[in-house]
Amino acid sequence: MMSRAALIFGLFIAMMSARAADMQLEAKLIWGSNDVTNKVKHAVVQDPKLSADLHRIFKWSNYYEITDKDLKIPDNKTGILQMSEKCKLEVKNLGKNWIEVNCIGNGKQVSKGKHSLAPGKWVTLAGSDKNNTAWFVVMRTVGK
Amino acid sequence: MNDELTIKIQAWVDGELSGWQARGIAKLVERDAEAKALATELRQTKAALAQNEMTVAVPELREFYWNKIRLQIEREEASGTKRVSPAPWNPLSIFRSIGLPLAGLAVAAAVATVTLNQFSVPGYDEVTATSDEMSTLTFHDQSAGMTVVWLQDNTDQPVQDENSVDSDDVI
Repeated sequence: MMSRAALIFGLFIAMMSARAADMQLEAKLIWGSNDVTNKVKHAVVQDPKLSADLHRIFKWSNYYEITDKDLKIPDNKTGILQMSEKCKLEVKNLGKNWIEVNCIGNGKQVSKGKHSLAPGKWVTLAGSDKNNTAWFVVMRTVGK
Repeated sequence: MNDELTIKIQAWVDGELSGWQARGIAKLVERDAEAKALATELRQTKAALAQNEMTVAVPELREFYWNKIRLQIEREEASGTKRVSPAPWNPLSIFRSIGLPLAGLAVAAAVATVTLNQFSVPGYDEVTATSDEMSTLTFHDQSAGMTVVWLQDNTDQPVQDENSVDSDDVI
């Protein structure tokens, strides 16, 4: 009886510790353009696989990394990432590698959604911009 | 003779049966030798106990005896203390009083956590809100392991760049 209760209590503690794990989030703001002169102003995306994937999926010839940020978000808490002067992300850690992202541009909500962030996988929010350019916010979990 | 009949004969000897039951047992005892023998034996035992029971008298006057008890109660109430013998330290009793409620609480909390978790985490990626000017397209690229949510601003002004393309051609 005593050992059974202790086992249940132990399982509960283990469960709560697993659930309470923080999420280490990496987010990048990337700008896609066909204008090669922008290389002078910004560095191209450094991650070779990410760069290759962006080139394969989208049509732009150059991808510039504007911001690269890391943020630790406790379970069931919301972290804020100011990606640029205009772009802000409110990211809530829903647990089990799920996040809810509230994307805010120029102070207005652009989109809000729930996404799975399996280790090593990317979630990308993107949209077209002026002069045949595009913006990309790519996110993934790091560590573990 | 069965047990039920034996008990009824005992009750009849002690005068505990109602009228019709007592009459029935009396008739049985008259005609049944075994029942008669049992009733006789029970009567003799009862008589022997009644005559030989020891009487123990309190070696004090009745009023004095009860008065001592009353005074003791009043003394303890006045001093505000009760004599309670301290319980010996027993891990099992401590576990029962603390561990079991905690274990029950833990199980309830675990069930609640699992249940809430089922509702809070969606089964697939979803965009729950966009601004009025936006439309979305979500797709997953398997080889890159990348989920893309493409947000199209429907109020986009026609671009003036020579490389400009239609919005449908953006991706």
